[in-house]
Amino acid sequence: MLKLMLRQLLHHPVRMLLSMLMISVALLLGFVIKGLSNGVMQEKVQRTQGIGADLMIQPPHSSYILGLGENVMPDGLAQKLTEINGVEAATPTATNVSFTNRLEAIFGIDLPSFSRVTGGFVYLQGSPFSGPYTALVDDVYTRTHHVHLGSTLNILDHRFTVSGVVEHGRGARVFVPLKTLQDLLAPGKCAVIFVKSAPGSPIGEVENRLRHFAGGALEDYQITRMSDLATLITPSSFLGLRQFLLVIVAFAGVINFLVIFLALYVQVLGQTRELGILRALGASRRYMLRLFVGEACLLCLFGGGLSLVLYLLTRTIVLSIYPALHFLLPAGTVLRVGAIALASAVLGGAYPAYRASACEPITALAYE
Amino acid sequence: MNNRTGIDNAEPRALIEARALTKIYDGAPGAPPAVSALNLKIPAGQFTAVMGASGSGKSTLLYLIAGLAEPTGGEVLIDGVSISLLGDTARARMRNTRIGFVFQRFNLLSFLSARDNIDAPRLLGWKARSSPKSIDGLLAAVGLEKKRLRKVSELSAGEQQRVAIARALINDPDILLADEPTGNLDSRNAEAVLDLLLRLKSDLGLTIVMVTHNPEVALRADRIIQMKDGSIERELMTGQIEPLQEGIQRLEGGFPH
Repeated sequence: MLKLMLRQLLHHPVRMLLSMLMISVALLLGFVIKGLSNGVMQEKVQRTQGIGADLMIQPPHSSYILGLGENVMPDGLAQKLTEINGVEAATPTATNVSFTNRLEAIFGIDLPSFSRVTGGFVYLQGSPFSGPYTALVDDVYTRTHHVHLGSTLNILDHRFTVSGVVEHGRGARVFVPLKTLQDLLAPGKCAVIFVKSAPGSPIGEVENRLRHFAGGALEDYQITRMSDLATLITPSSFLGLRQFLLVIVAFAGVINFLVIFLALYVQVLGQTRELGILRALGASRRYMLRLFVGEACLLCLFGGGLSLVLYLLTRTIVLSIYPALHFLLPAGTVLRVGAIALASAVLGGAYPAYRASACEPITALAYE
Repeated sequence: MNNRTGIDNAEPRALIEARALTKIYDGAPGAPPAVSALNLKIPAGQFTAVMGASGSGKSTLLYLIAGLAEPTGGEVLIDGVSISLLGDTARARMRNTRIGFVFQRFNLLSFLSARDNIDAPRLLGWKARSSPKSIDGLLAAVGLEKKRLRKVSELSAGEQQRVAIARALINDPDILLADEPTGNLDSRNAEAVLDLLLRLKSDLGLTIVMVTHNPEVALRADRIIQMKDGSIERELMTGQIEPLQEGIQRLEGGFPH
C-alpha cells in the first residue's frame, strides 16, 4: 500500500510539493513561536540560576521574571538575613526594565554582597563600577547592542558609561550600582534579595528559617528556590502567552486540515478512472479508505519533516541576526504538534477517502 | 443435481454460473434491463466468446460475473460461491485472487510503470507480493521484458493491452474476463493478443470469457454466445462449424436456429 501511496503522490509532484510546503509553513509557524518562547524562557531561567543563589525573596505576588517586580522591599533586610543560621550571603537587587531598543532587564546591585552570592563576575574587559553612573554589561549585550568599553547607555534618561564587560549568565545583561538605581526609582528599596545558603546547610531548613524570621515578618513574602524556577517560568508566567500558543497550534492544525482536504479532494476528482481501476483489480472500499487516509498521513509526515528542516534554517537565520535570542524545541513539543497535525490530516483526508471508497467501479471506469 | 452449485452431475462442473441474472441500471425508470433473467453455465477451462449488438448486455454480463456490478436480481456463482451475495471486502478479494479482467481501453494505472502495473493486483495485499522473477516471467511471456520500466503512456496500444493481460494473470486466476480486448487494436496486434489468450488457455487451463464484436475472433473460442436485449439469443460450440469461412458467414448472417 505504501508503494501505491507514494506513486500516487509522486504522480503530481508539483501538487505534492505545494501541499507539503503549505503544511510545513503552518507547522513552522507553531514550531518557531513555541521554540522561541521556550528558548527565551529557558535562557531566562538559566541566567537567573547562574546568579548562584539558592533562594530568592520577593514581595508578595511578584513575577518570577526578574525586572517585572516592584522595588518595595527595604534593602537593609538583606544584611539582617545574613545573621540567620545557614545563610552564607544575601544581596539586595533593584530591578528595572529598559524599553530602549529592546526589552532588557537592568539590575541595580551592591557589588560586594552580589559577588559573595555569585562568586564574582568574570571580567572580559574593563573593571568594576568606577562611579555612580557607570555600568557593567555582559558579552552578549555588547554583540547585540554594538556597545563596548566606554560606550554610554541611556538608562532612565541618564547616561551611564560602560566600565566593564563581564561574562554572561549572572541574571541580567546590564548592571548598575544599587544606590544609583534606587535613587532613580525608589530610594532604599529593592525588588529581590538573593540568598546563598552556607555549605552543608539544607536549603529546606534555610527556607524554613527565612519564613519564621523575626516572628514571621517574611511570612507573606515570596520565597522561591532557584532550582524550582524551571517549572515556575513557563508560558503561563506571561499573561495570554499560553493561550496565544494554543491559538497558533490550532491555526496550524486547521491549515493542515484544509490543505490535505483540498489536495486529496482534487486527487479523487482527477483520478476517478484510476479509482475504478483499483476497485476492479480487487481494492475493497476499506482498502480505498485506508489508501487515502494513509496518503493524507504521508503528506502530513513529509510536510512535518520539511517544517523541521525549515525550523532549523529559520533558527540559524534568526540567531545570526539576533544572537541574544534562544530557541528550544523539546521532542515532546514536536511530538505533540505532530500528533495534532496527524489528527488534522486524518480528518482532512477522511472525506476524500470516503468519496474514493464510495465510487462504483463501473461508473468510475466509464469516467472520461 | 447439487442444490448449492446447480451442477448437474452428468455435466462438467460449472466454474461460472449465472442464475436468473438481471441487471437494471439505476436512474433509468422504465428502461429495459441490461441483463434479463439470464441463465448460463461455463465449465472450467472453456473459452467462451460473447457476441451481440451494442447495448445487448455483453459488458454488463462480464461486470456482473466479475462482481464489479451488483445484480438487480438473480446471482452469479463462482466455483459454487455466490459472488453476488458476498460483502464488499470478500467480493474484492475474490475479484483479486480468482478473476483477471482485461478491458477494451486497457485501464492501466498511468502513474505506474509497465512492471508496477503488472504488480498492482499484488499491491492490494490479498496475496503475498510477487517475486521480481514472476513479474519478469510475465513480462517475457507478453514480450515486454525490455520495456518493463517504461511508463504505460509510452507504450503502443498493443503493448498496453499485453501489459493489461499480464496484470490480469499475476495472481494466477482461474478465470480471465476480457471485454473486447482486441477492440482498440490493429489487426496485427489483435491477432497477437488473441494468440496470447489461446496460449494461456491451453498452457494454464484458464477459463476465458471474452466479449467481442468480431466474428473471426469469436470463432477462435470454444463456444459462442449471442446476446440480444440482455438475454442469450443463441449459442453454439465452434467445433461444430467447419470450415472457418462458413462459420464467419453464419455468424455475420445470424446463428442457425
